[in-house]
Amino acid sequence: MTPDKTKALSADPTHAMEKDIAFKVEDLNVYYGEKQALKKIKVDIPTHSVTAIIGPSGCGKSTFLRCLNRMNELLPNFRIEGEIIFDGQNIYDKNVDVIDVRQRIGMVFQKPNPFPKSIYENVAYGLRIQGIKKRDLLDNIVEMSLKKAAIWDEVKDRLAHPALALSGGQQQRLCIARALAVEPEVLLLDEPTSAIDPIATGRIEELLRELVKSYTIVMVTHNMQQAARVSGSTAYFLLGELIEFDETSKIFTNPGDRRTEDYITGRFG
Amino acid sequence: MQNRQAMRTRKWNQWRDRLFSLLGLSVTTLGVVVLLALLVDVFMDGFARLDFDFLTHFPSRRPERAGIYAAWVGTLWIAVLTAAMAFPIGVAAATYLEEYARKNWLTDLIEINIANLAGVPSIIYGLLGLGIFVRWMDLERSILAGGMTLALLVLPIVILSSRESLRTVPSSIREASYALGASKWQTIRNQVLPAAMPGILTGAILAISRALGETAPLITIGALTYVAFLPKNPIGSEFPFFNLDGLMDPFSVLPIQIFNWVSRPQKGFAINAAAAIIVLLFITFVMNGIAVYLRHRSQKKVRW
Amino acid sequence: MTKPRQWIERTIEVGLFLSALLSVLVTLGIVGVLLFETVGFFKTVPLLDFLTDTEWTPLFSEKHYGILPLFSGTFLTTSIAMAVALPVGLISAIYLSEYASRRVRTILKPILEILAAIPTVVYGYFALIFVTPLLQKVIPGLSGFNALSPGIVMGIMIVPIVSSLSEDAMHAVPAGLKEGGYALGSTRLQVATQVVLPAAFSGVVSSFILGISRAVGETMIVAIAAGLQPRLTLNPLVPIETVTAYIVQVSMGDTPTGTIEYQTIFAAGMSLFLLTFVLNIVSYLLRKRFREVYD
Repeated sequence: MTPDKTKALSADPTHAMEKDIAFKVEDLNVYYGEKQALKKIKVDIPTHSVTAIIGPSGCGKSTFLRCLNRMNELLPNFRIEGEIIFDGQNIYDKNVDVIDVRQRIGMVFQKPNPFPKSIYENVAYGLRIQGIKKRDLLDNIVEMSLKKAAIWDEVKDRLAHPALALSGGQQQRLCIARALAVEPEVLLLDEPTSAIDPIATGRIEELLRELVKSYTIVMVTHNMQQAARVSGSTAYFLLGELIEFDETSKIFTNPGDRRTEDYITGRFG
Repeated sequence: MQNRQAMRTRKWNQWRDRLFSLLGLSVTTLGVVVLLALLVDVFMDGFARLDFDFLTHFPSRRPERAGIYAAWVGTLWIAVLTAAMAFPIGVAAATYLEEYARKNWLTDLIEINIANLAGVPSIIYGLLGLGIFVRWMDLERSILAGGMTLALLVLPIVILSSRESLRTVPSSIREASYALGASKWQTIRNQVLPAAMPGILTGAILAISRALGETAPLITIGALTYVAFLPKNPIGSEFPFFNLDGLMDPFSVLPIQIFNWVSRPQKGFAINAAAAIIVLLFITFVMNGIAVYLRHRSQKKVRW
Repeated sequence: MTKPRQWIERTIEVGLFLSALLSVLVTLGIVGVLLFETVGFFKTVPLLDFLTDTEWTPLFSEKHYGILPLFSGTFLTTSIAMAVALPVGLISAIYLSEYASRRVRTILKPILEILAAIPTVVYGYFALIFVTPLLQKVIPGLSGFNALSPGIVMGIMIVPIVSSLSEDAMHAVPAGLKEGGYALGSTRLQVATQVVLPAAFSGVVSSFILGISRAVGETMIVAIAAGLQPRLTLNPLVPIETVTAYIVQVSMGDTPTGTIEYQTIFAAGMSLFLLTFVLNIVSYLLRKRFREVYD
């Protein structure tokens, strides 16, 4: 932890950190130009658990995920209201450094997006841009990250090979390793298995169950079985609103809202 | 320790990022500065010289009596001729390559050949025109030889931009037309080409504008720098109300007149050159403006 | 389909095909014309002399036919132009694709395009009448005709080619890659230099090569502002002559067909054509490879 973060934390007593809440989202409104993409979202996302975000396409689930590490800012005409408290501080606060936010909150995308570099350089990228040059340190972290992402055994003999030569499922695990290498506290996953085959999907789900022991995971998925299999809690979004947020077991067996039930039982979506 | 190091690296990275933002803006603006300098320079030198006489006088030994009459009329002739040849052939070639051509070695050859031709220096086209049109076909230093040379020069540009435009026409349009029983050519003529036309025109106008600014190939084929007469007027008062005898007349064009004046030591001719440049830039900018307007309008009107 | 209908369709296709084939004829015409006169030239002048003689004086009474002085002139002005166009074009491309807001882009891009549309004879005037006197204030030894001033102006002219083609290449890099970079906490500069640029590398190099090809073939700027004195030198401050300018110089006079002077411009043109041909093809293949990766 960097010194100024702890300072900011104690300087703001109103945001007393709650022990097991990773993100405290307060009255979040998001606009793209005229269009409102998220409406009055209020939710507490727990630490060390997988939170699944489900809902029909266009419901704002990806938008919400991208708010959590400020990736939305890359789009033009993006505007946000409300607060997202992470580690005692609103990540949209003026004096918060967006680079810091993204290093602490990692992200994996729908389509595997390895850089056109070697496997090794992909994982080392996040460290290199932080100015880490020591070869043995890099070697160590690369190996550790690849092991955590359960792909080490498959690639250890060809670290210098181009990452684009890997299969889709391997690429996605490589991207997870790449995200883990910068030692984030949170991992955001945006439909991480939608572009890969069922067997590779199984391995990634297995991996998530392992990773959740040390990371907070938030995952957007369009696959409800997947949400049921891996997540501890589930948020259901519809037309930019958060309809329901609860433990996954409750959402899938006894939803509190009629609309959630309709979606879960497959009446639409 | 590690943290302080990381903090420093991050600050340094961000500082570099901001520095580059500034550098990028100033470097990109350099183009604007040069453009302004060029325009201001030319206007200060030549604007006072621009008057009606300048536009209606033939060149002369005495700079204050010289004008660009022959030059701008020649430029007009060349514009019409080049467009009349390059446009139909270019659009036809593009249509073939986009709509008909099968993927084979001949198509590949034609494509790579066009890409290369677009990059051949213009003066080489001048040598081509000199060898083929002027000497071999014996057209002398005529407007026809000049127009044909420039038509070949801009042909690859017309083809490339037309193909670009044809490619943006969605295949659903073609399918809809075929589904109604139209033949291939009917589909192309009635649906595809009209849909692509604004883009094709934009590219063609830019190509003609480029041709009007060309100097080197016309010097090479021997366009004259001292022309004290006009080509025969193509519009006659008697039947058939036009004649094309002017095509075989010698000619000059604005860029050549400018080059000729720039090359002379007397200050008066440099002023004339600046004044002629204003006219040439005016023509160039108007044509580019029309092209940009066409592109803008078609982008607004149709969104696939 | 009725018979005449089919016949019309077929005729039209053949007509369109012939139009496409014309471009091949143009290339054959160029090669043919250049080759024909060049062969005549080399009947008089041994190839070895052409390539190794250090003087080029076909218009003098004591004739030498060494292409080296013309090549050195072309090399010199091209190097100066690229020294301007490469950094400026690349930085502009990075700035426009990764930094500039939409508003700034819509203002700056068309202005860069205007730079590309200005006739070269105008740049020649600008180099001779404006830039050279300006440079002379800073560099006292600069002669009125020199390689430096037209080189710089040519560089400015080539900036839009380099910047817009490089930007196209960077723009074609999938957004997912950039997001991957940003998600790891990269600054814009890091994303641009370490993710986008390597991914767009072949496209960017292709734009450089095309820029070089333009500089090598550029004629009027150097014909006006560099002087018409073939000289084997790399000194940018003295008058020189490029391959292209020499062709203009001879064409200005009335040189009869078949004479050796007449043939020299075709020999010079042949050298120029071969050089730009290689550059254009390399650039084309790189561009094609780049497109295949990302389409």
